[in-house]
Amino acid sequence: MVQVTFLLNGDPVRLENTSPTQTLLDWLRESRNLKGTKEGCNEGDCGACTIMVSDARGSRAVNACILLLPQIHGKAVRTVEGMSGPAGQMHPVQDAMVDHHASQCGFCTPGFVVSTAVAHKNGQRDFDDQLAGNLCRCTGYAPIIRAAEAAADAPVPDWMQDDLAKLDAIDGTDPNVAMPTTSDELAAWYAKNPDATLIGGATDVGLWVTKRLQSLEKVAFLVGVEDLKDIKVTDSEIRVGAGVTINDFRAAIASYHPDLAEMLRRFGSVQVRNAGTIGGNIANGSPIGDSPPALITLGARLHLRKGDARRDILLEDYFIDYGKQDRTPGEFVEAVTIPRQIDRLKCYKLAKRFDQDISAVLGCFSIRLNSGVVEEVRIAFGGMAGIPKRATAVEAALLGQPWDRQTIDRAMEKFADDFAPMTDMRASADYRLLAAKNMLLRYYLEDQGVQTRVLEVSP
Amino acid sequence: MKNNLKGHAAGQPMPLVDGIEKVTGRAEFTADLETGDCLVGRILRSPVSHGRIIRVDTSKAEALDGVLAVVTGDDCAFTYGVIPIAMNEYPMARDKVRYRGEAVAAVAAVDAKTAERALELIELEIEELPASYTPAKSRADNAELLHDDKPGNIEREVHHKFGDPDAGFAAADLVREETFTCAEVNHAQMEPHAAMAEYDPEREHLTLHSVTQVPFYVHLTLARCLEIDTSRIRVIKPFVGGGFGSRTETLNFEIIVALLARKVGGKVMMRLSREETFITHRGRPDTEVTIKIGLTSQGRITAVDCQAVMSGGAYAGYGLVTILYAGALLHGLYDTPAVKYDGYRIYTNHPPCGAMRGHGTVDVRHSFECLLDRMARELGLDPFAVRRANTLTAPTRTANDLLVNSYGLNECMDKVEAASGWHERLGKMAPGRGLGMACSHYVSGAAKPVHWTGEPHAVVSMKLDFDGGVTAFTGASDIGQGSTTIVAMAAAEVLGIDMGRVRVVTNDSAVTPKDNGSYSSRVTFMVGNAAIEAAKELRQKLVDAAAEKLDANPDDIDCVGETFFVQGSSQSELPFQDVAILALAKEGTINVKGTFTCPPEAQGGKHRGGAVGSTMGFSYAAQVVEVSVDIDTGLITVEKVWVALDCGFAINPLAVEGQIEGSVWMGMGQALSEETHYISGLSVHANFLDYRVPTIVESPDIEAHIVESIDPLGPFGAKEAGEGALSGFPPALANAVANAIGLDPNFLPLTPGRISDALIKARRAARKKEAS
Repeated sequence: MVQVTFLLNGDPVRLENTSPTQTLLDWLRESRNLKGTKEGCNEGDCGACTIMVSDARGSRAVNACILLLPQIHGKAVRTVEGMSGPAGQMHPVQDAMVDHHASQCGFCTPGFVVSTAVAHKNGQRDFDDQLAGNLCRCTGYAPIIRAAEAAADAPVPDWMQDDLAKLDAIDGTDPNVAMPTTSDELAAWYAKNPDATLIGGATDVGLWVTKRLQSLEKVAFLVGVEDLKDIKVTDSEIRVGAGVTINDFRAAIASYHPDLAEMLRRFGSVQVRNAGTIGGNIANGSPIGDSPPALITLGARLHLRKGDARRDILLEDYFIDYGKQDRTPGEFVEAVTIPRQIDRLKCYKLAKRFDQDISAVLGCFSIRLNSGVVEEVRIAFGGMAGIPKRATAVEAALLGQPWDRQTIDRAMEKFADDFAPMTDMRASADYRLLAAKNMLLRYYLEDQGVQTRVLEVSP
Repeated sequence: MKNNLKGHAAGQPMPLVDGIEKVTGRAEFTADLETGDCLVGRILRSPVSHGRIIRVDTSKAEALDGVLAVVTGDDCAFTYGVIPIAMNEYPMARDKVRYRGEAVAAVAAVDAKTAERALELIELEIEELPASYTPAKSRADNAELLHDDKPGNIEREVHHKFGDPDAGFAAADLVREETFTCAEVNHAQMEPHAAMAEYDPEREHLTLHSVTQVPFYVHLTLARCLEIDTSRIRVIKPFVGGGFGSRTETLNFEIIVALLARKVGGKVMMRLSREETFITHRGRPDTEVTIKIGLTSQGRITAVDCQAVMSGGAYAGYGLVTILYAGALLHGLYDTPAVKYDGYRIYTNHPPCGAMRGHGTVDVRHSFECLLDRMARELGLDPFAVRRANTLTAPTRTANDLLVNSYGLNECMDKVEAASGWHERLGKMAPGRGLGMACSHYVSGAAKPVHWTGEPHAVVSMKLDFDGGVTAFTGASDIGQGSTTIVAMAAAEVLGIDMGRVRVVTNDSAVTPKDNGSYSSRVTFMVGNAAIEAAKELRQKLVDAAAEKLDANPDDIDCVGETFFVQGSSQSELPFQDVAILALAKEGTINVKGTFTCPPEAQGGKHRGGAVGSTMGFSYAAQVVEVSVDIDTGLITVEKVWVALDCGFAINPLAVEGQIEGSVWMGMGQALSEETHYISGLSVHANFLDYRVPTIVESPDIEAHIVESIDPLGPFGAKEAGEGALSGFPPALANAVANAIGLDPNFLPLTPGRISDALIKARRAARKKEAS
């Protein structure tokens, strides 16, 4: 049983004896009787339960259905009820949504109100990105965009600004659950409790609770480990702490590898990217995580730690087989480093839906040339095998060869040596193989300056 | 914008009257009604697709602490189903299970955890039977029958012939036939299913709150399945988070929760998970359409021959209506003088299909519009020209005896043709880009309801009391489409009063008049007309009182902007409040009632199944879709949509625009990315990640135009607006893909994998042709 302290719609809340795996959504609805926040899917796919979480790092939209209570310890939370002012004044976004018919049945609406109000607070106007994690089945979204645009210039209401000042007033209750604040603390604790589950953003572990109905006996929450949230850039490398959220990583990497940032724009949804971490996306070993193929292509190294013992491995060596990774009990991912390099990275994410979808195929390419000859090549794929995997035969067919169409055609034939993808509901084996080949061709054509992307989505 | 402009409500863009509740989170949906004293209901579902139930042993579950009731198929021996002649489903399976996920038993317990544990303790023994998941397998000679009374697993077959198709095809200059396959899709409304039942054992009264679109049908079904007199049942519909047809029939959990509540003599809440909500299904069936059209060289349609085979799932549900609609709505859009239709609704071991937005017409309309476009191409005709060659002139009756009373299709086509720059841009676009168009229509309410009793189709009552407020009482189910707002607007318009003076009380069987429910786009037309009639009666009483006071002829009195006056005179005016007091002085609280009855000439032909498709007025739509197709990956992007809809008259243009955009967008989901997927009967699509409704990013700009043909029977001339444009999107998209890359896809949805496969096949075929 844990103790959690936070601000809820401006008022301090102190919870004694709550389960560490109780979701914020259940607590809001069942214990607090705040029923404006809706359960649409209970797995982070629809955004009907979106709430705003604020701390020193800013305000962001997060799915409450897979957010566990200790994750908001010491933070400020606002629900749809807290979007309106203390005297019941409507938020400009709420006013605009009524006037523009942006709410029909109203069930997804509280989530849209919060996501839009967070964007409004942060001055973000890229609504296609900010609202991609909220599904609506009535409107076709156009009236929601119209409402968001209409409200964009309105000043941010006072009550939306006040939380940070009040945060200091919350006392730092000991939560009575492993919530280390430094990586040293985490290392010591995890070495002693190697059978525990580490919880970063809970975008995966949250589902173990809500979908598999698991009651996790021993857990540690990493949300407070500040030194794991650092991104350090030196002349030789970019070191990304395991606790860096996907959205923070995306912002940091954009100037070095813009195509990776662009691909991460399509990683889950805003809510998922605000909670999920790079470390979690790697550590859980999923064959369909979107960050590993890109990081492998960049030659990333993984930094693992157990107690005081640290080791570095190539990220690609971490993934041994489906469900099997090179990580011993009590060992955790501390960081990933990307060698500084001239940017040649392209990431092609292929899914049935543009956003909020698991990749059918994710192909990442970095090919360096010298005098028209391939000097260095790294290609990695997700969705083509049980693990994120390099295309070694294709790479071999390219290395040292002239950078021309003939080489590409020959290399395209080698995909079948590297991959025997499976047929599932995301794509057929044939389609995956064909798409992978065409991605190499596309990389080549783009390099030749040919316009290949007819699919750029204009805002 | 919160209040109407002085004078008129109808025709003004009006934000929803319950919009504030929705955006503030105050709107209470069924799941929000849960209180501390509620027991938690959970359903045990069949792990197999087809099987004989040998044993259901609930003794261990019943013995578990905290379990208050367990029910099984033994607790209800009455079938239910929305069509009185086709009720073949039990709330919980008896003897046999017919799809994976079918309810077998249920528990009520003190909390969710106990309920889940109780389900695990129920011992279920099922002898598995062979299952069939496709119509072909179900119709095979040796196929296991799902229902003993349905040989060949044919739920319903329809054979209709109007005019002389043989002569029509003989007279045609070009006859083509194609077969289209359209995947099953689901409503995926955002609110998961939920129902709360409370049983008062002292009074033997049952109260049910549910997510339904049809509280009246639920009421009747509860009475039947629980053997309770209808007078002892009260059904309340709170805010409902979308329906799109998924809730147009009573669903098993609504009966099960009532059975549990009665057994415990208390209150039980049943909240279904997203997965269970998907498994309850009732979506649009997987359909194979074979369609043949005859055209003259000028593009005149001479004959149509259509065969539709639907994979209907395990129970009848709305099935016979779906298969009839598919044939009936071949008519009414164009002048189709000769039409042959053969429809087969086949039982399969999947969750039952049902009504979904555009009920029955979507897949057939898709096939028709695709083939018509291809034939126009072959004849060298413009897609608009071939459709214009076949328009109707209202009023008229179709070959299958449907009434067409108003017809704005020509204007719809003119609008989208101009807005899209069709003639300037077609054929001059960048590689991989293209334009396509299609037309569509839909009924404004079924002229004959499924429970035919002879009573009016809609009743609205209205009260004026001492406070000067007008309260309208309606059973119309607002599920987000805005029907409550329409009733308020109708009252305000007729009475000449401010919207703020009108309250609308909805959906409580103890309080509001019976209404058949929200389906087949009937509400604005029928309930709107009833509301107008009620308001007119109230207005007459007020006008009489004003006339007496002003010493004028009642015929000369008008009321605009809450002021009664003698027309043509500016001297004597009476404020609404004063007139209300005068009228009340005569008779006290004023209660009036308005009704609407569909005229007999709208009720369809005399042939078997002739009532389906019959309506007072069809909406009409035309749309142009612009696409980009990436031939390397098969990915399609919708760049822009121009759509025009003839809704008769836009009572609330803001809501009409919302309905047009929403329906076109839903058609886009079906066309691009949505489909169900089963593995040995297991629903593997049953979440929002694998059932891909489009997100905001891939949702294009939809430019909506409103066309007003002023229907003679419609309320203020209005017709439906929420379904007509849907079925035009998939064919307009397919036609645009053909225009962009020269590929004519015969399938839905147009997923990257399917497009890619089709391109490879087309290239192979082209090479073969070149070689030979």
